[in-house]
Amino acid sequence: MSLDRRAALIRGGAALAAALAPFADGVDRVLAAGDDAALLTTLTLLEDTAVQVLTSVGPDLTRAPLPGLAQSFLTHHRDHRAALLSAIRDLRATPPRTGQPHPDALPSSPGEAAALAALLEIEGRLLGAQYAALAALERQSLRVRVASIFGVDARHAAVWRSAGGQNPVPTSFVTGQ
Amino acid sequence: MQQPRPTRRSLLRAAGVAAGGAALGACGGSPAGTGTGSTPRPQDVVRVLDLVLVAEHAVIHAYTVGLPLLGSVTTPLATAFRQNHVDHRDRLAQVISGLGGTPTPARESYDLGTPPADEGTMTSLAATLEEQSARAHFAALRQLDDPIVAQLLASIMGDEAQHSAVLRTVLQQDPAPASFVTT
Repeated sequence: MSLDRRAALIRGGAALAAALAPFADGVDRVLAAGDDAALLTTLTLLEDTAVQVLTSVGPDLTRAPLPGLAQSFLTHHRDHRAALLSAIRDLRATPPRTGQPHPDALPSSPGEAAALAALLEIEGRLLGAQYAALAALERQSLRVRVASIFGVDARHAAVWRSAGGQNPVPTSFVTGQ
Repeated sequence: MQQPRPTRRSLLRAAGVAAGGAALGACGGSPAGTGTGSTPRPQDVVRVLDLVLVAEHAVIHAYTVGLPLLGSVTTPLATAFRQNHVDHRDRLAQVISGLGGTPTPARESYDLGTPPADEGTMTSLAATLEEQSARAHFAALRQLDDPIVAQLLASIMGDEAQHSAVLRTVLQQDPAPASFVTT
């Protein structure tokens, strides 16, 4: 293993731990960076969290065109979760239970501003975890699959930032930071 | 050796070549790269990275010529996006040089097809080029087996996908029309 790759795995493990910590038990899963099934499990749980957040805060998004975008992005996250679950099964590993509550990811107050903040938070955690996984996954085919999800979640983040009055593209490189 | 003059058509062809290579890879071919499990072939990585570098040159040129056509809403966006592409260009050139290659330098101009005449056509052109450039980076990523290079290409692809989303919003189009990036 090259030093670059070893360093990337260490960085990836730390980033994934940070991404997952508030939302799931079993943070130790992410310490197995280099274990593709464990990495995909982490990403699946985060997509599952995004599904729950969008389902929960969608009704708080009332300005056009946000309601329609929320519905469309919810479909994307469901598709991402399904693709990751399929990839885990392809590895003959046991997929995680989805559809579990993730109360820590939900806003504590109602309203569009809080909803947008929660959506930006989960999209940022997703992007950070996916970015880290890209350097940590052993299988090239899985890196491609994660990258195809990463590009779409990056779009979501830009849309939510713009809706919240923030710079939609604040950096030249998307890393989830 | 005299290099052919790159045009928008040739950029699309280059992206198509990358996508075709990726498709071959999916059918059992080996991706190029320096990752574990493959023979290190830095020259192949350089070739693929240079293709996306040329795409960055063309997008930078398009923004440079189109900026005077833009209005108060789109000018700040285009100015920022152009700078993002300059950063991509510099990073890609740095990696190519680090691998022992010679980055293709930017030309004075690129054929962008029908020149944009107003804000609407310039915004449409920028949205199209951003979409194509993001897909070219994804196609390149599919061809390479080095996780560090894949991570870099994905981080650039994500940025350009964000540009596309913002410009599509300006054009009142769906900012994220699909669940997955494809070539």
